[in-house]
Amino acid sequence: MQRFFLLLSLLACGGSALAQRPVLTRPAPPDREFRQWDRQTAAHLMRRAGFSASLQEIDRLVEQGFPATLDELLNYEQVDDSELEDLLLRLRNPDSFFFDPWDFVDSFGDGFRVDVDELRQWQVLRMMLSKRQLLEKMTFFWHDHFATSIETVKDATRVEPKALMALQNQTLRQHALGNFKEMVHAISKDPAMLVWLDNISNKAGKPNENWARELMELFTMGVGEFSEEDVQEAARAFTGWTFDRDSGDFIIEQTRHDAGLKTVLGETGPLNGDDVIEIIFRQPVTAEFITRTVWEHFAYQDPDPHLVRNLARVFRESGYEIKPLMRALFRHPKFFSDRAMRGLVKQPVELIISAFREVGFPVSFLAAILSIDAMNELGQPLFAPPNVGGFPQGRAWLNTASMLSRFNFFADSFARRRAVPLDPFGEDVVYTFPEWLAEIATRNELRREDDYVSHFANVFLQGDLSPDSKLILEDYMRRGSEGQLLGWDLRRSDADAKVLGLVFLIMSLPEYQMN
Amino acid sequence: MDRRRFLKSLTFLTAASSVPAFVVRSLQASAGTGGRQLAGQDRILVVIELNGGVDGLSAVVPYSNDFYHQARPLLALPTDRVLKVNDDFAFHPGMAGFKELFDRGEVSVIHGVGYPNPTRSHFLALDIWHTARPEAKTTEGWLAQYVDALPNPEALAAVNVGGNPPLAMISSEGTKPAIRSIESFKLDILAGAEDVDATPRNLAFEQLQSLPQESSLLDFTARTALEATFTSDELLDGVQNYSSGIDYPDTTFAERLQTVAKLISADLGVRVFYVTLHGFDTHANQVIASDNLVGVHPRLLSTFSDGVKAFQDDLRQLGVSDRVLTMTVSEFGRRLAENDSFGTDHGTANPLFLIGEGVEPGFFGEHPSLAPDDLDDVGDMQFNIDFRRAYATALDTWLGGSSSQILGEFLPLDVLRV
Repeated sequence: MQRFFLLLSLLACGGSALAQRPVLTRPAPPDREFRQWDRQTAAHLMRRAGFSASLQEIDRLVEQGFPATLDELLNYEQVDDSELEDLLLRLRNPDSFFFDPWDFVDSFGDGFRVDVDELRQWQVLRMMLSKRQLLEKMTFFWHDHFATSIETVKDATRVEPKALMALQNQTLRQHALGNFKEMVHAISKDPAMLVWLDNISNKAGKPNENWARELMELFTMGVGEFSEEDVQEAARAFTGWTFDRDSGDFIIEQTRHDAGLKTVLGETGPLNGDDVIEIIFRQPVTAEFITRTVWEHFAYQDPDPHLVRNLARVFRESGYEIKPLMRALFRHPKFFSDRAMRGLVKQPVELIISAFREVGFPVSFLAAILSIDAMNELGQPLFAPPNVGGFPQGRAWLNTASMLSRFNFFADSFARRRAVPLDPFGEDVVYTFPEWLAEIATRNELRREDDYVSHFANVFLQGDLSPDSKLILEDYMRRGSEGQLLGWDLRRSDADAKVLGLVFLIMSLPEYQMN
Repeated sequence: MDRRRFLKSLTFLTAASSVPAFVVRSLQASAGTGGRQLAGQDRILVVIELNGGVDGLSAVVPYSNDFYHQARPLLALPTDRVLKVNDDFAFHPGMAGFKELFDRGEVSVIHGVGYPNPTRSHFLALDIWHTARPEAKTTEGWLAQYVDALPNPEALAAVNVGGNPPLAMISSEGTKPAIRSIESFKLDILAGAEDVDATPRNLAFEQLQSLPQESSLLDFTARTALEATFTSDELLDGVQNYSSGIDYPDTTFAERLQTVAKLISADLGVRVFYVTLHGFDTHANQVIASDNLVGVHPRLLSTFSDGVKAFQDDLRQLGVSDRVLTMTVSEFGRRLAENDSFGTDHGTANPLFLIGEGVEPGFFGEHPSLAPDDLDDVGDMQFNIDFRRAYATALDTWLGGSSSQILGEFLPLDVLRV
């Protein structure tokens, strides 16, 4: 370690002459055979079952224990979320678009007013502030699963697309931790989906296959589990399924429905769409496909087939109830395994929302607006997935362009002086990030450079900072503007800049890009 | 001190696994021990993906074929409006720019491209076109593999211009750089403000990202971070001298092609570019009911045609048009028979375009038969030319590489003047 320090100091005074290779120590892999319920595991759970949490919140969860935390996440109905609901109520447009999307449609007539950002702000505030974190995480997950884009919805109907997307969001949230089969039935009758996958123009004689194909391929069974004939026959069963443009109610236009015999997945009859969905849920592969998808989003990629089969049995035997599946997943020893911990790439939405939640910075409209811009820039705009397959996964999120965008987001949101209204209504309260950091420093009695490094590493990485990174960060705190060693002192004239820089450097670490 | 000099001062750290090999090479090059060899003479391949499955029958119209008109009572284009090339084929009326390129001798149309036992799933089909392995599931992209096998590839040997790179540009060695636009491709820590802390912060940044990592995923992330900051510097320097008298259309697609032109003019050693034009999955309302020359699909064809025309003109002005070959790909064509929603469902064989001064102009191969008896079980056209032969043409004949490791043994097509 001494040698490493020597190198650092040599480097600072032009040590490129140094020919010797340094020996960088690598921390011994921690013992992860037996996991305790501690800050690291609690933070892992919150990154997966929610959008991370502040240190304060994580400490509360550690204190109350794993079983109570799991109950709190799953039995969200018992968690009081009135603070958020009150805020959203106050923010509501006087025309109240959300809860009466059809009134909204009326008030805007036939014109497209696609201010989807209003809807996005609403969703972002829920993800940031809700105490029902798993509910919001699942709603986001199902949005990715039943990926519907406002970009197409707005082209294809005269109905206000924002209203349709809002309605779908409501449907997804309603079923997010409910029954998966019921959710598929509801989605099959959801106006945005009927538009998105063209079922509104699926009629007897010349069926449109789009919905029938993706229902089986992406939403329930997975590719290779059905034939082209199954697609064509299932499409016939959904002919005539559409919605009333004035009321928004689902309807079946009997004149466009093909009432003839169809054979789907080996079952024959005068099948309609509901029958097809029931047939799909009689296929064992459906439970396995969904279980695998859930595991890959909440635990890690490429799970062992045996593990999937076992969890899928729980899912199927419960009649496709989502809560027992999620409980079994979070209680699975592999969920806390080495492979799972920081083993998934943070999707942009996760990265952005969790950053705001972790710093515990008083959330404001600005945070919501910054978030929406950053999500667009990073390629994950809410309500506009790139295609019906949903958002990309894993390493696809990490490329040079998106990496720069990530860094620029950190700098823009957390490492720049910016006046922030505390509350959308409290116009006079102005806060700057350095002031807020100074307040944190006082509150946590941060003095020495290692106090600062440890504290912010805990805030953002919940203890997952390697010893080498820690040394580099402490060294950074001591350096002056020319790279010279000054030592750390809170009274340094550039102290603000150093703390902002520290935050930026921690958020830029590879570990921080992982969920 | 700028970032480049930081990187130089970091040379000692290159023992760490995270530092990408090209950074090391580039540092050595700038220290006078090597450098880019004759980059200005290298040939360049631009791949344009028409994502969603372009309706080839609406782009290259078999306007005198009765089966075409019978199968498409609503969508068949009016014979007097299409841009005729010969007695059999015409381009879509919205593709005037492309027709001009064709007349200039810069377009080769390859009929009936596909592969055996085609899938109608977008996702499987895209995987197949991206990996060139219909028979096996793999995650090695065909273009990424080509670049990986180059001796001493530049950092920017392959560039996806746009957002998330397609699988074609991803291999086990990493994801090829993505650049949305030149303007956005920079690290902007303290825009405008005086950044007193830049020197120590940049140093710490490079050190942190160069540490050995515990997992391949973390290592990959750190490498991407270093690559991002490094290539950003190189690129911003390189494109400063670009200027163009060409008026590109106001579309994202054209903007991306212009970014490609800028990067080519900067001579950064890019051999392969990838650009995607989205939106071709037109099951419904491919055209509007009152006029089948108007609608989503015609608009996309015009976007493609106008963008490519401006791009080719720009390349000519830049004096690099003889070095650039552009090839289109799309996951599948669409079904011959229209559906009842003014749209078409997923199909199979499709025409593929090669564009550039190096092509043998005209039509190549035989158009698939549209006779009902010759269609497959589902009612789709049967392919004549395997898409991997087009890939082999691009990799072997154009870029002078060796495609057999990537594609298997496929004969290049005799469609280039090289």
